[in-house]
Amino acid sequence: MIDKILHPSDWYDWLLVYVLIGLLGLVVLGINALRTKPSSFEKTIMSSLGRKRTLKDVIQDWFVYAVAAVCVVIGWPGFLVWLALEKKREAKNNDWYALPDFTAAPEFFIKEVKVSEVELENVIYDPLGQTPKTPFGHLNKAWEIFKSKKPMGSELQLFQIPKGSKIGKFKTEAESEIKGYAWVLNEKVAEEFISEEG
Amino acid sequence: MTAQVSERLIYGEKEIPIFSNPLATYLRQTGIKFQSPTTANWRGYVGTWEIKGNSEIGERLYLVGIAAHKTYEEILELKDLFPDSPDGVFAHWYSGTLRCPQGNRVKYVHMGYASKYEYELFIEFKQGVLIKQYAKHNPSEEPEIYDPKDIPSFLRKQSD
Repeated sequence: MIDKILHPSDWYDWLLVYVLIGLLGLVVLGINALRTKPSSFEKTIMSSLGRKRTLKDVIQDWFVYAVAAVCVVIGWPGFLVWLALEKKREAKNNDWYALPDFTAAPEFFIKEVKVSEVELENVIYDPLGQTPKTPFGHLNKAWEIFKSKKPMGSELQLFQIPKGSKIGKFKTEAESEIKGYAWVLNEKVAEEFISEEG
Repeated sequence: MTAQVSERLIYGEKEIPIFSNPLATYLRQTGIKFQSPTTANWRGYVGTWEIKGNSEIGERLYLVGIAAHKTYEEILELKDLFPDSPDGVFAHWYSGTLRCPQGNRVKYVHMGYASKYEYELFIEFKQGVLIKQYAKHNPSEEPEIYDPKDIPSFLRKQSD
């Protein structure tokens, strides 16, 4: 038998190998299903919510398991293709989540500006004299950090986002007008600094 | 999400709640984060604000007090966060509208600042300078009537 599996010669041997691989997959899935079985605590909660499992539920579950088992044994290559596609989709999702979430976007750019003129225009006037006389006042430290993060070859863009615009990766609605500056490299936002927001 | 504890505004002789977070932009830009002490205060601080100045020099929004949780036990004050501005921090980054609820609560919503009140005072600022203010009246809503059949059995009062 083992020799037939290791050295299949006719279609019957190949079928045996095919089914055995499917059975192996079924065992793996079975072990996984047992690991995620509801705990006795969960069962107690479900029971107190009036969701106690009936005989019909048990028969229904076993029917589903049986159909799934046949599908896995017969159609495991399809399952492998699905698994590969799922992994690819997951990797793509992870890449998207790893991307920085900037508020600024090219459609909100107003004009290219120079650091020196921005700093001159943004010294804060505070009649009570409680704000540092530096560019962007209390936000000066954040501005300096933003300046230090300038990527090579990037340009500084002033951006202004109208209230209600869709912003960021998740396209949330801007609750107020937003104004700020962004380092832009190859038409993409590399860093941003928000100077005004509600 | 639980209803959130509001910011405070010294308005005339009174201290009134604000359903807006003018400090949020500053904290995001400077990377400062606080620890949430309860589910009713996810942002980890409560700021007290005041509008200072007059119509000649302009009325401006200042942060005049704060209780910010560095840890659950350690609470920071204004002088810890802004040692150079002990009398108030001009919120020059704030361009938005403060929403101040007034009067009776007409509808409770167990989420953020979503509860509705009889009156709402809106105070609009541009770069921390007051531009305009206006009020809105919210008529009382009819109380929601629940059909007992819609309430799950385990939540219903057991009758003998």
